[in-house]
Amino acid sequence: MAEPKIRERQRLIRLRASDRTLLSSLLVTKDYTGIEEILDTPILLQIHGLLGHFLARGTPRLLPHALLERGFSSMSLNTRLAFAGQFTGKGIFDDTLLDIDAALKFLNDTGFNNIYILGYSLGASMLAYWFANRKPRNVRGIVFEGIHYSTSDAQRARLEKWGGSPTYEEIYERAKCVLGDDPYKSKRDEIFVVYRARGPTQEPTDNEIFTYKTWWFMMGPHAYGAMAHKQIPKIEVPILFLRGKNDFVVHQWEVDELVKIGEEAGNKNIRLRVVPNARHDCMENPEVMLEEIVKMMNSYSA
Amino acid sequence: MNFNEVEEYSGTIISIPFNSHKIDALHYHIDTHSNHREHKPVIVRLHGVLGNILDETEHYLPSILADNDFSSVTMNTILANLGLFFGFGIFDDTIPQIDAVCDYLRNIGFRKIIIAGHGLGGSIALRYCALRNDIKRYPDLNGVIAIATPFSMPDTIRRRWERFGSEPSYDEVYERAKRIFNPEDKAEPAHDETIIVKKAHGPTNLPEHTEIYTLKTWWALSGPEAEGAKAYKQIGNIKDIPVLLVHASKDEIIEGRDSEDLCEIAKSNGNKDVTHVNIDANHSFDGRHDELAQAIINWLNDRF
Repeated sequence: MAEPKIRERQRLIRLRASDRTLLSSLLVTKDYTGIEEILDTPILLQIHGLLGHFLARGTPRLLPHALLERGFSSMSLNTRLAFAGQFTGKGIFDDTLLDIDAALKFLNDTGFNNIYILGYSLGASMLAYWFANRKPRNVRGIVFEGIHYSTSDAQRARLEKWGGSPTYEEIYERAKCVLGDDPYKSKRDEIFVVYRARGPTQEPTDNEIFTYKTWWFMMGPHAYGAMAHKQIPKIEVPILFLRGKNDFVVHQWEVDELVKIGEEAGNKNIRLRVVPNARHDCMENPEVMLEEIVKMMNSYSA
Repeated sequence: MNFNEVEEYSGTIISIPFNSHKIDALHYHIDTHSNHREHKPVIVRLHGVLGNILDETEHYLPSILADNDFSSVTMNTILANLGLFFGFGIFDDTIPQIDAVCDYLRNIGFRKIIIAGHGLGGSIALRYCALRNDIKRYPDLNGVIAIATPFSMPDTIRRRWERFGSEPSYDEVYERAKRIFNPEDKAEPAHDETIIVKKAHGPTNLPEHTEIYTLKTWWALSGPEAEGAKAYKQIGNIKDIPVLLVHASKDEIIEGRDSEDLCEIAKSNGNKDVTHVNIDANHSFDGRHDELAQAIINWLNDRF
């Protein structure tokens, strides 16, 4: 086993969100002597999916180095929902706004001029919510990879399909009871398991685990932030939608609808690419995924 | 915020091949001089329960060690992140992972390896060094550091659950787990299941007082038959390398006598280099990281 040759600059960067939450991120750039050498190079900020992080297999792990081979930089952010955030009660979907704020502030303060953002799966929902709320002027384009029309609708459908226990309605009733009138400020919370949430068995890999509070803001019927269809009309920058042709998590109708909603809202720079030979993770076909992302970054950079 | 401010927090993330997977690790202070690698020990660090290489607390010690010219590699074991929750985080499966990291370090020229862990990581470190207590076969395994390590993980967990009146109780979980590992006559072994234990860490149903396992991961880490996680059964087998035990005198998780008792067992089994250090700190050594690091650096400098 040889020592790894670290050709590029790979930096673990730790950021504080405005509420003091500590965030880790990984900045991958070409090697340089002075920082000014890389500031005009397009950089992609990447946001992980459910229970994900920037070392998780697939897109989070593979994309940064594949981008670097094509001359682009990246920064991968671990939000408060990374790892087990949704089990601890601290991983509130709506609060990820602050995490993306912190990452963008770092990129802006450093002086990067051509910033793009990619959200993968749940990260795509976080990105849609963030963009719709912040409307940043200095982001040149965004990529949604494997985005749900609505995470709450998707979970309800999954639980119905597999006979989840408790049912979606039972979780909702229990959540109301535990969290009371103001779920965000509620001092009460509990962890719970949904058996058969992702498959037909009681095995741990078919289960989902949340706290009532994290569920409320990510999967509940009032989790408006995680409903991409409510966010897309507010996004005016170029959007690239990517969906694996064999994706069994996100249905084709979901992205078709989101594209339609965006176009009807007046966004003329929306592109959808169905990636052949890929499931939920489009890096199963890196050539096509990279072709699309590179095309976008080349088209809209200054 | 500027670029220079964040640089000091940087380590380098490396991925070490392991079977068909990779072990992620954080390498601090990669000194490539052969003299450094031959003479200075490298510290392999093991995280605690639900830890990972990116935890804030995992960075204090490596950065202070680096300032004192010690390289370290903090590794994600199979128990990192979600391992305990989804059934694959089995305590003893960490052993071949540590082998892989040690092999990697040998391969790049390090000749002295210290295994160090905090809490659960300390239990794993002692287990590993007990299983590899063979100076001819592992001449470069030069020491072990166990920080805030329980005398016995199963006993510590049982006591804590009893103290707070956990739901379900320790015995109830044991009965359920036995259906997998010791099914009654002619019964099919049960399948693994996720278990949520409320009031495991404190008196409420809040998430911070709750623990999550699967029956299999609980059995391997916390069950009464989890021999590997009983440090007192491991430390007596570590006879030929120096042992440093660090106790936090205000530890809210580990009993006060645990490391003293471990120290006594190690000595009474013939280990002539066992050090016990007490630091006025809580289990996480909040605000006392410098003191902890200094104790470790002194111990290292005295020996290497």
